[in-house]
Amino acid sequence: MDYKKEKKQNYNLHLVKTDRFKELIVSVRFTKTYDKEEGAYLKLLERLIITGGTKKYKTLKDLSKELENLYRSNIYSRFFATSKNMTFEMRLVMVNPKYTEDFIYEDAFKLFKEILTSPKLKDNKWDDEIFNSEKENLIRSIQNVKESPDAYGRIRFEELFYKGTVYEENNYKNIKLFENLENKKLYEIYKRLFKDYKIDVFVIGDINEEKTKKEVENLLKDFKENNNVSNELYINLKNKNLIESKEKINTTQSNLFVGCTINNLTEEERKYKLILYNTILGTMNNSVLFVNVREKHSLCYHIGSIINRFTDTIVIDSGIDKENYDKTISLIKDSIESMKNPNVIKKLIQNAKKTLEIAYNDFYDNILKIIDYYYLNELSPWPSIEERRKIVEQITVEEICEIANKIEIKSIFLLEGSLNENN
Amino acid sequence: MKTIKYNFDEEIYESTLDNGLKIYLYPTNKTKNFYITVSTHFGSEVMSYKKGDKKYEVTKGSAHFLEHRVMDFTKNKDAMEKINEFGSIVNAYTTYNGTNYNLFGHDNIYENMELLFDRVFKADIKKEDVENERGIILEEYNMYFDDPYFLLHNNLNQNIFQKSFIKYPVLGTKEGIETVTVDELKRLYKDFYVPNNMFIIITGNFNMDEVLSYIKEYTKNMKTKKELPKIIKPKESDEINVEYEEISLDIKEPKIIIGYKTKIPDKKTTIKYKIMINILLSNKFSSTGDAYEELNNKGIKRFDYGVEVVDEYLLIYFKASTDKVEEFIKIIEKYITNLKIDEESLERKKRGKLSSLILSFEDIMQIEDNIATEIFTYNKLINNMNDIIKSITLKEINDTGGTVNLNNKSTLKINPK
Repeated sequence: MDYKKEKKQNYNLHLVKTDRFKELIVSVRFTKTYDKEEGAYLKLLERLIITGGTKKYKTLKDLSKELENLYRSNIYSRFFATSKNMTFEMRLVMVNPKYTEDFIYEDAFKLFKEILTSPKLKDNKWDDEIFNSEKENLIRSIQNVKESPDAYGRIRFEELFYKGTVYEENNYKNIKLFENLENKKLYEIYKRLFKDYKIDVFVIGDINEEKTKKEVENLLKDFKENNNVSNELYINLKNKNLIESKEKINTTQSNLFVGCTINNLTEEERKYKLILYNTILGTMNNSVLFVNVREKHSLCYHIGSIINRFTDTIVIDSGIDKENYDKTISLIKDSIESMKNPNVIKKLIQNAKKTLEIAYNDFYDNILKIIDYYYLNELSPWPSIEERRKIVEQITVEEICEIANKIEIKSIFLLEGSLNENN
Repeated sequence: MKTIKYNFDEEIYESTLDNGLKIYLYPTNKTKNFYITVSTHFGSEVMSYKKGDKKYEVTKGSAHFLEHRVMDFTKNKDAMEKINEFGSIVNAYTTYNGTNYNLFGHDNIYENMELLFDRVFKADIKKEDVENERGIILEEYNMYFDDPYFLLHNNLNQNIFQKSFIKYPVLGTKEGIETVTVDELKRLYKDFYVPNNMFIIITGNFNMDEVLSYIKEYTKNMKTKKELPKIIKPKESDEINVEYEEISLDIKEPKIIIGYKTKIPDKKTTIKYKIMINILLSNKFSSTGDAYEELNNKGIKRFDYGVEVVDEYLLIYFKASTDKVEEFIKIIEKYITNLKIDEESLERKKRGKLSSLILSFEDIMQIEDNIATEIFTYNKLINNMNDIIKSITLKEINDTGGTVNLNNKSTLKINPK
């Protein structure tokens, strides 16, 4: 796998040449500092840019037929936020033409450009009917989050745990913004993509470099780049004391979330050691949480923990019966405490290192992970897989215990299933 | 060792050992990891079976419960410790057709194989462990029943089918989970976890000859079961069970599912039949189709359709989350009655299918899953999918559209409370 970056006048080109995949992916990412309202518009654009049709392909049906003709190529759009930045992504996925027919390559790029730059508009607006229908549909989808206890529990927990930071934001909470979206304004926001954003293009697959450069240049030649991104992505949480909160929902199962801060992490700890610590705590087969809460006490069906890299935090989540709330919390506390004990870590550290080995190998098998890595590295430099592999191998028991001494539970949230078992 | 050739230079190796155990291998250098799985043709579709003169009823959820006890690392701490030492990831799942035990690893393949094989082939099922497991499985059960989309399918299956296994979820019933005994689980293990009812798949980075010799050595004392249990399936009737049902749930938006049950015209050509029905449906109900467009224009955007083969029957379903339930029903009915396709669209759909075939060898877990699904469902590898797709003629597919039994329909609504 060869990675190469080229700084062009109005965009950054990232080429990843590999014969590992029979797919080719082109991902164009527009990045800017997060703005709630603009983000809401881009969330709607994520749909409209595909479903609204283009000058040449008037309807989604025409567009879909053309994509299918190109051996089921696909075009996706996606809006997401990463710490203080937000991203609008357009992604073209195709089977490498060497397995199908050569003309696919140019035609797919042509179609990609058509979708990105030539939406079907009238008086600088999308068709009102389509706009309103997509807007209504988006609002409905956002409200439907309540039907998924896990997702709903997570956003309610994040509002609590990340209070005062960009991470407390979510679409459900900001539903008013979506209700106020206007067709004319969407066009203005859409145009900003062409002048106010940092632009990165990733092309991955068994690519022909010259041909690719030509197509990408043609795709982006009329865009202007403007670097309005935030480069300081780390955020300090202000949580002083432990906050516990509960909310009732009509399900049988309850969802528990526990937010922990890890204080005064060094750069070295953040980049390498925290990952190993978390693997032992809540991701590997015999993680401390899994063994204590599920295996020894049968208290849950799942339990795990994930790192939020930009806030130096770890979030533990589990599906439990509400009757077991106190017992589960107490076991989670014991588990976290036990990580300070070198004898506990000593038994687990080699396993955790091996578990990470698999994940590092898996990186090369996952085309989207590769793009995401280079993208995040562009915003906030992060060591390569091979660097991480090397350094993680050297981490000692004591170093993990040092992290264990820095962790503190700050928020506990229970989405309490209030149906009794016979319902 | 037999080589099964696929298009685009891909090959899978197949071997049947003397004791009847089947092996499927896909070695590749494109990854550093490997994926080992052991499966048995014993899933939750088995409701009763005969062995000798004796007939056994199977408690609902037993296959899944057994999976939890076979993959037992709580009581086999040494094994788990070793697996963790290697950093491997173990898991298991149960479907209607079978149960699959798997290990994803990157190092020490022979030790890893031994650890996985020891669990599956040498399980020791104990009373106290079965009792402890009930709580965990009930949690899993509750999790599913909190999901309205799971309920849609679950209740539709109950309404569409009279007697079929598919009336019950893979997890079984609450009663089944609470009452299944250790003796029954032991017997099921003894009857169904035998070499000539099982298969091993390994995909990823490994040396094929050495791996095969290892498996032969490991299984050399395992004997063929002379008499495999005979699965007794209740005779399903052509008619549906319940035509219409409404339930209420604490949800935001109404949900609907419509199912059509059709007897498959010729069991021997089920694979091709299913592909053709899929193409016809995609031609109307995917984003290239008129039905999709009409639904979309009406503001019905959260909808989905699918096709499932259940023994001799084909189930086609359409589901949506929408306020406009009546309009949804009207549009589905309008288009399902006319499942025709033209030449240009058929060629386009064939290209789409071809692209999925090209991409089906990208990921070692996906490759294993494709093999396992084919063996569970058809008991053979389907390496001629490309030819099957190419062979579809316009007349043939349009005739197929007419075989869907439109009168055999069941509708289920879930209303917000």
